[in-house]
Amino acid sequence: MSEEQRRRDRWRSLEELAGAVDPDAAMEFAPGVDEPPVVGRRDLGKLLGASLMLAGAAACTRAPKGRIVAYGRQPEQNPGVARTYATTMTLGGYGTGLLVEEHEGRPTKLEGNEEHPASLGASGVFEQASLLSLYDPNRLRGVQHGTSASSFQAFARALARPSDASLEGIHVLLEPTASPELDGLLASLERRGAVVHVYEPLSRANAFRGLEMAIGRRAEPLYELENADIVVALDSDLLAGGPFHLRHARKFAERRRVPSDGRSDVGMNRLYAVEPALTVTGSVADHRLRSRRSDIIHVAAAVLRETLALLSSPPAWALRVLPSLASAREAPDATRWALAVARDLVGHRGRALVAVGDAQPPRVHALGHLINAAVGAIGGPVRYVEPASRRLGAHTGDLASLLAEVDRGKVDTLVIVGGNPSYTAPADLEFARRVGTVRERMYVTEYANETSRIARWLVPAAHYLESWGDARAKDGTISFVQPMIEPLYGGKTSSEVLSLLQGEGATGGRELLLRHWRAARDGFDDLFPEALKRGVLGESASDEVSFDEHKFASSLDLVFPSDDRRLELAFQPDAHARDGAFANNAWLLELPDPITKLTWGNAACLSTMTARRLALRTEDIVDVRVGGLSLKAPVLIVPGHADDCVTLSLGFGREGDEELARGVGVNAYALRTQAAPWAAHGVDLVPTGERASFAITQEHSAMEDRPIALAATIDELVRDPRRFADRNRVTPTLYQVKPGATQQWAMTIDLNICTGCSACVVACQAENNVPVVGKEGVLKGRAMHWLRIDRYFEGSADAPAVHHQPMACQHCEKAPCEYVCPVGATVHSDDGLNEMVYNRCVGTRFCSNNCPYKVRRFNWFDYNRDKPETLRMAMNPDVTVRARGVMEKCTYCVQRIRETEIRSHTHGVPIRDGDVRTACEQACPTRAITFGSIADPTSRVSSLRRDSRAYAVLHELGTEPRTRYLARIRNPSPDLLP
Amino acid sequence: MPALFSPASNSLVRLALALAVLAGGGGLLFLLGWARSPYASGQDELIEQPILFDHRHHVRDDGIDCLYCHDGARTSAYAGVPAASLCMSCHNQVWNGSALLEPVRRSAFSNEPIRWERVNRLPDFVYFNHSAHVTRGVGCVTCHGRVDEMAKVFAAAPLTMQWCLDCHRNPSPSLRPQDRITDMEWTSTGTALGNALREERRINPPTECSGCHR
Repeated sequence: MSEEQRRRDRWRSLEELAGAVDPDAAMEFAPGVDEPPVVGRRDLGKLLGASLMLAGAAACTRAPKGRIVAYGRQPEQNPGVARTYATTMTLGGYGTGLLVEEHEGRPTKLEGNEEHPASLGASGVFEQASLLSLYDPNRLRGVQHGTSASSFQAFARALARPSDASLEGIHVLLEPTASPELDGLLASLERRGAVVHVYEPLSRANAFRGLEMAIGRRAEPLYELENADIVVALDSDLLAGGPFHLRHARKFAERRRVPSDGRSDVGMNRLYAVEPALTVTGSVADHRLRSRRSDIIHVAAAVLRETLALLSSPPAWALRVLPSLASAREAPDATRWALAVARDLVGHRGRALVAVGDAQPPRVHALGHLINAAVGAIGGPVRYVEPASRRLGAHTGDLASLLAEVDRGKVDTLVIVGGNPSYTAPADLEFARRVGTVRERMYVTEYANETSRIARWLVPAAHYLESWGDARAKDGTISFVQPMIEPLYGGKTSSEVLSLLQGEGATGGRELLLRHWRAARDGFDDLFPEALKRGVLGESASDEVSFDEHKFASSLDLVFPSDDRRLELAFQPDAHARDGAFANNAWLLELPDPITKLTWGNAACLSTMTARRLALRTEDIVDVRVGGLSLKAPVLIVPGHADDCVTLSLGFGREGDEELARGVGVNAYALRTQAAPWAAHGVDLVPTGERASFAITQEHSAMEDRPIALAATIDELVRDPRRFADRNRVTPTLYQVKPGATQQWAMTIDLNICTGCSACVVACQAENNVPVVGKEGVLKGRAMHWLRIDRYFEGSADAPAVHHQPMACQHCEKAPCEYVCPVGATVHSDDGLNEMVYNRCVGTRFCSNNCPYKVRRFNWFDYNRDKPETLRMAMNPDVTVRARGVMEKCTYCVQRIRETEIRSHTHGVPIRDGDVRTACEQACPTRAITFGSIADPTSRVSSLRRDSRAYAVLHELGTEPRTRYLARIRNPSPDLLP
Repeated sequence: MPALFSPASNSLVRLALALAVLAGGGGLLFLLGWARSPYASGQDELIEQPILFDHRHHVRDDGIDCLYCHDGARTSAYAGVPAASLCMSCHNQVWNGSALLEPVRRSAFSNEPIRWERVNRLPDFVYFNHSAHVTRGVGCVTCHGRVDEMAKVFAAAPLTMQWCLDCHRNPSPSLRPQDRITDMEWTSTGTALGNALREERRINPPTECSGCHR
């Protein structure tokens, strides 16, 4: 491979591909990185001088005194020992079981619950970051009536109704829920005349309707990726979004492990993805076809047609469907692709599945189910079960019907529970304007946001870590929500508020929960303690749905939309703000997008070709106009994006009272209509001549064209299993090797199953008190993440392959940073850790200069000073909170290592493999990260280091990093090789 | 023109330079020594507590074990200061009308905490763990001194890093049988016992930075 070729082989940004990287941005310490935001350099010098003198003076005083605040009455706990409880987080109506670590009554870290089917021990970015939302100082504090502060008692008087009164005229609008308790409560209100509406901007209505079209009844499809050799994702980010994504990722990864000898007969799965903009799922696919959202129906039709053609005995319903399939449009590249997919699907009958994303219209979902039926997936890797609740998958029509009732004057009292409909409702519904005529408008919310402006009563909503409740997972498994802390701001749960309508006065969440379950299940009091402890109620998964196969697809009418070649606008849930609910979460705002590496905002994403055609550059601000609506948005050119379409992520451009969210990004909901919730046609991008600036992290710490993220195809690995061995050798040394401690810590990261989902990055931030630096900080290269995920593109800018590589301190055995520290602040421990001693560090930054991996982070400012009291409560007490002027970096979660060692000493039990888990390892949905001791040759990490795919990054430098990577192996279809 | 300075002034300049160096070095030495002095570390300083609690009486006269009140020492990083409710487990019977105990009763009934003055203070970047020491054979008296003889508790050790490391590098002399952990009067019979205990429990205290700094 020539030098030039290799340079083109892996690239991180379009500028790098074109050889036009701004050298300033690529510098480790970019110009201006040390400049404060407001004060100029000279003023700062004076300030620094003064504070240095004062600091010196302060050092001459005696150590500060402290106080020990003893309990008055000893609670049932041992101060200093963290405890773990099981609870459940609900997202989009579906529950995910979590374990909460709490210190003296304050939750500090969330982990997945291994017993819960939606988690399996893993957690995602939203689960991890939801901890910070609990402590958010911007949360609504106390009940408000109009503009004045009020009390919950006053609110209760306004809402409460006698238990026998009709609830005619009372409408409740809430987010989808599968909580049995809340569902029961709502049903009892409905019986008395109240009307319940459900609205969710990221609705799964299409998925439910599509399945109904295929099998004639409502059901929930479950994908069992562990049983699938072939997975086809049609505009579906099933590995990183939607209910059960953690489970999907785990099971997908289980089928993606390559044995050490590279045998090809182990049944490594193959993933095909069709999508407009790169998602996590698309980025790990073996084959990815970029396609506009509205064109995917044609791809699905082509796959079904080819599949049916390849089957020797097509199903009976094939005759009903085939004629209409003929009207689907043919696209030459998609047809070849569809044929290859169909061959694979038919070749793996009963072990292949198609998953369709929620943004696709119901017909595409139906087509997906037809393909699944044709290749025998149903009953195999695809199962249909009873939906966990009828209040899931609400259609926008439900919100429209509420507004129609409002217009007819039928709504006397509107109670909005959660969500933010003023912001998320389709723009053409004019929600905020129309609900203004309702007499009594009440809103239960975590924040004073856009919707709170139209409400007369505001009630703070309890965070799930402050609540009693229950939830169901996608497969119906019931789990309970138990509070970890008293409501910080007087928050109330949905049940606590709505139960006021039952006429029994204010009732606590625990009592409501117990009351429901005691009535619903005999002997519940015996089950409850165990279910709370485990985090799941046993045997509670939904039953499988049966359907008449003869009637399969009988109610399906396949009509294909006419070809619309005008520019398409596609809406995506944001990878971090989601629908806007997390827009005030600093950890998520600063988390780089898995693909674009954009932080603090969103952008109108375009392909290179479309941008060229429209003469637009990245950071140009355009006026996006569609159907009379318009929005100013900055353009971002993204490799791998589909042509002739522009994608905008939802959830930004907030105008509520949330301090961080305000003014970040642009509000894509302004362009979203009832008729086109996911894709609109006939979009105009009109340049405004203005420019924006993006805080993108991908060019920070450039790696100088060296081979870093290695990959091969499975065939290449089988042909030459020793292809990576050169990069895994021990470099000979003249120095004597010192015998070390009994444990020798090391980590392996399997690039083959890393999806780039970034859960590890947030988990690290939560565990290690990593500060957030803000948009300006990211722009100046001051980001503090100890663990970053490098994303490399390979190949052409139009359809590149994507590689994700988590990168943190490599804990080199011969660490370059250690040689250059003048004060011995970074040294090596006997058990192989590269230690960072904050109290010695004087901030020369020599270590960072000398680090070839560029994983050290410098505290330019005192990010932790002046933190609100609540945010201090989120800090992990086992990790030092760093101040200004010190270097920091990944410690391999040394606090967890030492804690495990101490526990092993005090309990007299040896440390076993897997006892110490780093935060990133514990969160990882696919278990791509493995941590352990290489002193034990039988440990998982030892055997992974012996794997034929193992290699050390920058092996040629002889740093002997303790973190090893396992090269990525792709499994391309022979039919699609160029 | 006569020389502006006499030849003797050379010596004066040299002397002044030498004095400056000595003063600088001496100043530095003074600061280093000062930081290690009991004055700076607060060692041996008697501390006024909000309640006149006398360890001598409770430990010697009543024979209450250290771990009865400081029960976290075996299981937690913190030994813990007893909750007022624990004090009341005896004092609702004994001296239950004493005016001296009024703050304790108030705290136990109102759950308003008593704010004790801290005696042994470590900087925030030091993670000390009581259970790791107590369950491995380091007695209370080793670091806290003869608390049973203190009318007012004071810090018996400087708690400097050097002091910690002295023991971490050579732990044998400080080890004692597990049933003598809270014994204030027990003394080792010689190095053989310490070495044997160290061998038996495989005690190898950390001396790397991350042992205590995380």
